[in-house]
Amino acid sequence: MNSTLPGPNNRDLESVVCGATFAAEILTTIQAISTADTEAEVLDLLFSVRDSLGVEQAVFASFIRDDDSHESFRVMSAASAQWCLNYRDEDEWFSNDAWLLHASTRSEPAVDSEITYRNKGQVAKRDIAIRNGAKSSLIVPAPSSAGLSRLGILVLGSNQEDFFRGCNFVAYKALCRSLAMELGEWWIKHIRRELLDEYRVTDEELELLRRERLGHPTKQIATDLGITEASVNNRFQRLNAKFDTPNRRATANQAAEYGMI
Amino acid sequence: MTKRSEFLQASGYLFSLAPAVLLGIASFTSLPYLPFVGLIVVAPFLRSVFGDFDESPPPEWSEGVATFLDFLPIAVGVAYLIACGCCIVHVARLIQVSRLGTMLGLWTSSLFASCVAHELLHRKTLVSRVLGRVVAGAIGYPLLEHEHRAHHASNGTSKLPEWPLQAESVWHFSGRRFRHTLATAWRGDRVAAMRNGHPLAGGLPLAIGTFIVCGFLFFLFGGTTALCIYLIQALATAWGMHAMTYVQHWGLGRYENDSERYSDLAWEDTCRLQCWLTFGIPYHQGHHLKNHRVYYRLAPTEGSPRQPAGYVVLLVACCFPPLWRALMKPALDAWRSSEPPLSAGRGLICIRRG
Repeated sequence: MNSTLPGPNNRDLESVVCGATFAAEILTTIQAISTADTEAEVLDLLFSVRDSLGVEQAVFASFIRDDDSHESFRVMSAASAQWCLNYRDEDEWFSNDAWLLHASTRSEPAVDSEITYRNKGQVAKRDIAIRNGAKSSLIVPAPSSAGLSRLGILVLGSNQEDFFRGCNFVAYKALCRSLAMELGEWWIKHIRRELLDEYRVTDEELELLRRERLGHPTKQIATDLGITEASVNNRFQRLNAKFDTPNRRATANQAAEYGMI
Repeated sequence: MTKRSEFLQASGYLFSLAPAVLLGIASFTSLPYLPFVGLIVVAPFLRSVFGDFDESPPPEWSEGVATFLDFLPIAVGVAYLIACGCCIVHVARLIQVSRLGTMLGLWTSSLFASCVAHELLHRKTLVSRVLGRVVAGAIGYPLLEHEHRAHHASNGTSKLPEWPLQAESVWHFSGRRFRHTLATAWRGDRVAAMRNGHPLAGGLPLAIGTFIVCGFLFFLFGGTTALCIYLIQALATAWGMHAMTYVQHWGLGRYENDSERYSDLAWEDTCRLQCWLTFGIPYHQGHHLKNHRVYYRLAPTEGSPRQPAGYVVLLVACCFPPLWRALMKPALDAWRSSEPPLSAGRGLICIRRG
């Protein structure tokens, strides 16, 4: 894994986008992300796409919208380690971050100067980014659909103040959006795998959850799967304990929300 | 686990109704001291009767029992609001019996009701959250949700008044925390409202509204004296919340321990009655590690520091810093040297002897 930052980049956005291989490189990376297995592989891809995009810093975070704590946050960083450390030391870091707020409530990418900073804490977080070399940043939300609660945010930082400007910005933004969506999709799949491992949920149990989600009664589930009703009830009881939920309906809803079924 | 033993174990959580029931009885029988005597004076001694939970994971709970336990905080929240209403209606008579007793009785039930508000505010459903906000307002601490949101967002931070420093007294910490909470509440509420997509979704307006309505009702039924008693108990409840945070996290800040490994440290206790009365709050480190985990699925965290006494004893002790250090320093040293966890067991206090 490459952990160093590239040297100062003198290319402007026009020259980056007009590069002969620009779109092809980004699209190849997006394709590679979709087939990557491990976090390390995706992180390497993030480092390489950062260079292709002509920026010095790139961070992707995946999180749950209404999570008041930090539990759901998963971050992948191809950015200055000092930026991350400074950010972590900041008061109430992610809970008062204008960029995360933008990603939680909007779907269109925005340059940092277009975002509204509502208080000193939010301004301070932007200042940390600037101090650590991201003089201008592009914030690309990765919203999710189909009842999933997990969102994503891709932050690209450049050491040039007005890097994200110009007539080719629209094309640049479109590719960044695709990249953010692919990274978000990868995290959802990855976390699904992790949850399946952590909760030790079998394929048969997933089938139970799918059927519960469809509203099938216990008797029908038992008949369809060729097991007894007592066995269905026992399995749901175990699943409820794994998911910290009181009953099968809540468990099935949560499994759907996590993208497990 | 058999159905019978499962029901027996689950029924312990019915003790969580005690603060509301005692406040209701106090209101009708003109015994204003009743909640204070029952929950602060008598309850700590009941530890010897009910004992501790062991270190094993919580039961799997059958669906019926789990659904009942899931509903219980809503019932307790509603019961508290009804009891509070009874207290308001009878407040003039209670004041005639004893002003101090009325204040202490109200404060005690508010302090315990904050536990149900806490449980409700951690849930995702709108009904639970709204009820949690109303209860937080009624107990006189409408800032509870904001304060708690910030607390979970700043795990292990002693720079902010979230994790008390080892050298800090409860008086210094609660002053620092109260100022910080007041200064940041509205801003935090606005950010939460934005994030949740509705101007009222931050929760503070509803909690403040409930607080004002309660204050007005106390004034209406008991005059200026009742209003003053309500406001004083509200201040005492706010202090109680900060003191609880002090008790739960003293000396466990990230920078006073191994910052790489620890950020969610909290003192835990396995006292059965305390867990029942407070919806599992004594399993505090587990709560910080997974804050959406419902109370009946919490268990002691392996290797967590253990309280040498229950919350009531520690709340009294923390008011006197030398006494606090005498009680807590050995427990902190024992935990840092990885000795087996301390527990008061069936006793009132446990002090490790050198």
